[in-house]
Amino acid sequence: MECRDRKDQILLYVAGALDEGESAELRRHLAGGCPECAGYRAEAEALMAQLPLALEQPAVSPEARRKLLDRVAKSPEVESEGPYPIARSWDRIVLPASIAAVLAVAVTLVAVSQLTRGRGVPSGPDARDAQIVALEKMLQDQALTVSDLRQQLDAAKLRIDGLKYAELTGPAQPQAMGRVFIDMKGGKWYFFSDGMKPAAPGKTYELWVCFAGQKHAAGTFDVDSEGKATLMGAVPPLPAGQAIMLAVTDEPMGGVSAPTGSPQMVGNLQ
Amino acid sequence: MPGNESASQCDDYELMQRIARGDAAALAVLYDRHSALVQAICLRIVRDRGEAEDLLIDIFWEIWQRGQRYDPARGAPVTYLLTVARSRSLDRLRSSEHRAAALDDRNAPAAKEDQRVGGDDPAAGLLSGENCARVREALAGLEAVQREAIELSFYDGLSHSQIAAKLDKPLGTVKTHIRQGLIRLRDSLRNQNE
Repeated sequence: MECRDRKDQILLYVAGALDEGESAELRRHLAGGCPECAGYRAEAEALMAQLPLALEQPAVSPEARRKLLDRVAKSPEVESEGPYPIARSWDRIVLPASIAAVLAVAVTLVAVSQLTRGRGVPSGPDARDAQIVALEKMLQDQALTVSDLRQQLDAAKLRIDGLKYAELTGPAQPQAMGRVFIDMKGGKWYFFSDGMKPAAPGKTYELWVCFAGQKHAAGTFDVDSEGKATLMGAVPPLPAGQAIMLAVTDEPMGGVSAPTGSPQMVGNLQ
Repeated sequence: MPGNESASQCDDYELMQRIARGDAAALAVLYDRHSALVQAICLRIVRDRGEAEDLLIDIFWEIWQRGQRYDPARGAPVTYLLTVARSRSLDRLRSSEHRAAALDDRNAPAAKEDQRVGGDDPAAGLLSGENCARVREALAGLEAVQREAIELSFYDGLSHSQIAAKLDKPLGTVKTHIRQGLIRLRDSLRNQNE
């Protein structure tokens, strides 16, 4: 098929109106970096983005603007040329205290590992035996330290009242990991991904909460160049005493109401 | 620090660059230019003024936090903005009780009573006027069933089979309506541009 013959097909693809088989074939072609088809895709996306222009545009509340700019003004690293104050605190990502506690332990673990790695080791043939003994001792100390910190981390997880946690992994993305924290007290959940591949052209990732045979859409996300993404939302009513699984699938742009794509990673809520 | 040029004189591409560098004034200008349009798509999808306003704030906050993700090679900033707005609104619709309320209100004329073209803010009218009339004209040129199928797919996030059930039409017919409608819409807008 000539690229110019794909123009209509790409429009339908962007609109999510192609069959899966056609989509997969086109996705492979687009992933090959065809500049002509990339241009058609940009054109199609621009067309779809024009649809809302036909909507009536209601007046926007001045209060919304004020709320947004207040929130921005409180965020760090604001370069302001106007009346917006510069803030440089490290609170751009605001975590609940419970999650911060878990992360603090993890940071401590990494710091200890770095410090022990940097210790000097004696040299010279006469000191070889001593070096081996010292290294073995160091390894034992490190193992004990890591074990101790792991126990502290586990204990911290248990102590944090109302926090549920899940790690998501899967063979489709062996280098990636997703983490979900659910702050039951605060009524919020947080998803963090790391190392995920970018979604295929025309696709996005979608998070699902699964229980009692039902799959509930929890939001779509795209990852940055390091495969990182964050997502958050309000905790829906969760059944007590039932297994709750979380999953990420790849889906058409805009997401879907029931999963159609392949599972990228899954995990059970602890 | 930002350049000497005032953010209000920048085009959207320059604003996105400034936002990625943490320029709050650039975000304010982008908001003033496009907030009415973004709120319109949010309101169309979630059908609740309060929810749409919350979404509006969240969407621009996301732009502020993740502005560096915007890739100008993929399209204009407003395209990106509206894609994010649609995606987040559909997420909200699906994940909240508003779906039921929205479906109930779908045919209620009261939902549109407080919508005014352009709004009170003169900046909100930047994209109304000629462009909006052009798209409305193109949509009006579609067959009613084509327009309805496209809107159910785009604004309500329904799958083809869900649209077929809602319109009581065979699945193949729905797909045809969407395909023909989109191609006709594209050609119509292109002809208007030429």
